[in-house]
Amino acid sequence: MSWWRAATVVEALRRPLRERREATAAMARACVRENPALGCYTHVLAGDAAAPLVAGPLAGLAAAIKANICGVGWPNDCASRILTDYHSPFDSTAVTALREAGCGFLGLANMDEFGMGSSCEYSNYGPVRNPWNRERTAGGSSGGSAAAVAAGLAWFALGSDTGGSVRLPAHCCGIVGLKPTYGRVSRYGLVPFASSLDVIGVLARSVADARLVFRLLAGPDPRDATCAGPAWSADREEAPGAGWRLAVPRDLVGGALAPVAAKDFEHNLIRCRQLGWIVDDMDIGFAADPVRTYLVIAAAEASSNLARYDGSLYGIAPGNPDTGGDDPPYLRAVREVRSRGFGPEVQRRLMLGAYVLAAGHRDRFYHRACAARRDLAARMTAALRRYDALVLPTAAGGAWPLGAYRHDPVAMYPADRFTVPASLAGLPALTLPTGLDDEGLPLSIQLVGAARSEEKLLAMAEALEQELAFRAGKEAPWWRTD
Amino acid sequence: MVADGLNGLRPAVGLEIHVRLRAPTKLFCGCRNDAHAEPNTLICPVCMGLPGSLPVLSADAVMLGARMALALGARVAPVSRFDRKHYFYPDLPRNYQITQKQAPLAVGGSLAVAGMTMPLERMHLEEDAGRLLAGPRPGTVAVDLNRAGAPLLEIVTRPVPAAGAGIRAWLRELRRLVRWLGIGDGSLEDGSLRCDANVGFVAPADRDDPAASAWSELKNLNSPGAVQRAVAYYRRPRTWRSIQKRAMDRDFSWRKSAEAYRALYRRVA
Repeated sequence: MSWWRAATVVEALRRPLRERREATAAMARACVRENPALGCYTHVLAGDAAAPLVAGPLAGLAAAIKANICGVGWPNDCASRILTDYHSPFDSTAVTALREAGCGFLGLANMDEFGMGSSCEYSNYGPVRNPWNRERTAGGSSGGSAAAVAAGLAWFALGSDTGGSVRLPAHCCGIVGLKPTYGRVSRYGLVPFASSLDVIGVLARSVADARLVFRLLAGPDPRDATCAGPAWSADREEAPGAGWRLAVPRDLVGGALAPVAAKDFEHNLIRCRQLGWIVDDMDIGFAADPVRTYLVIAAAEASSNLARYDGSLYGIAPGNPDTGGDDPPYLRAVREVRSRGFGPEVQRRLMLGAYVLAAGHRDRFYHRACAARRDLAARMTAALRRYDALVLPTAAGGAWPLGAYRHDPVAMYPADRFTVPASLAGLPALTLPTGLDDEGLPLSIQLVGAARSEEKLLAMAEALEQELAFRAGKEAPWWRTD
Repeated sequence: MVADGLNGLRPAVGLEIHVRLRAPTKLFCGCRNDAHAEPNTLICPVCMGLPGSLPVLSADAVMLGARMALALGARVAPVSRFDRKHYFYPDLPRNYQITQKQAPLAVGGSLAVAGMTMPLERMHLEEDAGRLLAGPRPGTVAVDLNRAGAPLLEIVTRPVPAAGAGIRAWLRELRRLVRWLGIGDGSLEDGSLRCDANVGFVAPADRDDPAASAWSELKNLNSPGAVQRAVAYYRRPRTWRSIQKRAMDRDFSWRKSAEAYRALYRRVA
């Protein structure tokens, strides 16, 4: 096995630049070879994109970029047919930051269309397969990002997290996923799904890698009015130590965990206590259902954000207008493009969004969900004044079989139940792999911190990472059989 | 009002004036705010609505709007918000307009001209749409996005009893104020000052029956005289209906807008 398959960014940076470049070149060849079996990339990049000759802290390394993060030199279709061959004329701020760090780009990571999904099956390019078990999901919607990193086909990846889209794939693929505080990393150039929830996040093979990339990305951006405040360097660097105070919001955890996942979760709490940390049980006392609250808000915002895809300026061109109705030609052309261009899950969410925003429904659904969201955010923020982090599972169990929800897509929505609270509250959250379940699939733990406390979460996670001694690169067996 | 079959309802008029602000840039991007440039030369990812672009509010537009608000005695809100108004139309790249519905820039104020005081409802900032041009081939439409995202200040008056002659003078005075304050060019001819009139019948204050009131909106009256004529025409309902371009009641819900715009598509598309 080549050294780079399991090496972290931090380890690679200890090697000479020449070795890093060679490793990344080998990685790029592996992407071409292995992507058909995994489906983690929608497009594999080569040449200057993968290996720029730019000096910087990430020189010689290359990342996977989720297909909804804009950059010049590659298609940005968000795995949607409606944006077929759309090339953004500008770089997202996150991509600019990586370019300036000397980082290359190995490819565009497959995803659920526009980020809507939890399994990466709703992609115009077909599903992403989990490197641990190719009949299982890699999670969604940043499943391509997670699978690429876990399979050694990228040094790290950028993803986006709206309701868990970085953390759930990190869980399924046994890697680290960091969703920063809302507004900590610029969204400029991230194709929006739900603007009040969307955050660009990092998927990496170790906590140290996630920290390194996060520090490059975090900071104010004049092009994103919601991205303000000082860059990370103004944070207090947190030393790992004893005495962290953690709380388990038992009412949010509920009884939803699979037995083996529940056992792993409780075991991890014991390990936290063995590190000298305090772990208390508590109730958040949130009366509504976080998943429903999330669905209403995300769908409402999506129906607005995705209104612009009409086939007139970019994306697929209108075909034969449908014959239905007495609508004028322009409206019929728009409807034809949108009916053909959006996949079934996106259409479902757009319909839901239009419904909950419609006059007469707005108070009953949208405004109620917004009030519930404020309540949840206040409760979590209050809890985080007393504790350094809330501890939650990331998912109810290991990665589920592909196709499990083919006939009942709505039944997949609760897969986000443990991740949406941090999204709704705009708080940072980190998913750390902890071990394998009885089927050999990764399990994880999720830490949720107060706003802008990423450094503290990372310090905590790093201590726990050392304690648990589990790392995808060390444990994953899949390429050794090749 | 004399008994005239109006069941005691009194004619009233409310104006919506759109002032294109003389700010150096568009409302949410750095593109030059210039109505006279070659088509599609003043565009960027933001005002084209490209995926991933984000709007950033222009401080200049806010200051100009606040200047107008203060001159008219309005209360500038310490916090105002922007909302998205959705409709599918080819001159609107995002298929929604960013405007202020819930929390406008300023409320109240008034402007008195020759003894007629027009109380103001609100003033808010919003972005202009692009412009439709005749396309290269017959039956096609071309879009010029230079104007898309241009900063507008919308001034909404409260309904006042319809007295046509007074409105003409009032509008002229408002235009003078716009020019004197340096808010905008105030030209009705090139559309940098546009006036829509909501003309309607209002129930007397003692009748608490909103359904009894009826409102119609006349778009883009391009001179103070036209506004006056429109108000006069309204007193003759049959004539009014024959000249009415489109009717939209005061319901802002997407359903009503959709119907109104659907009617508009039928004409242009």
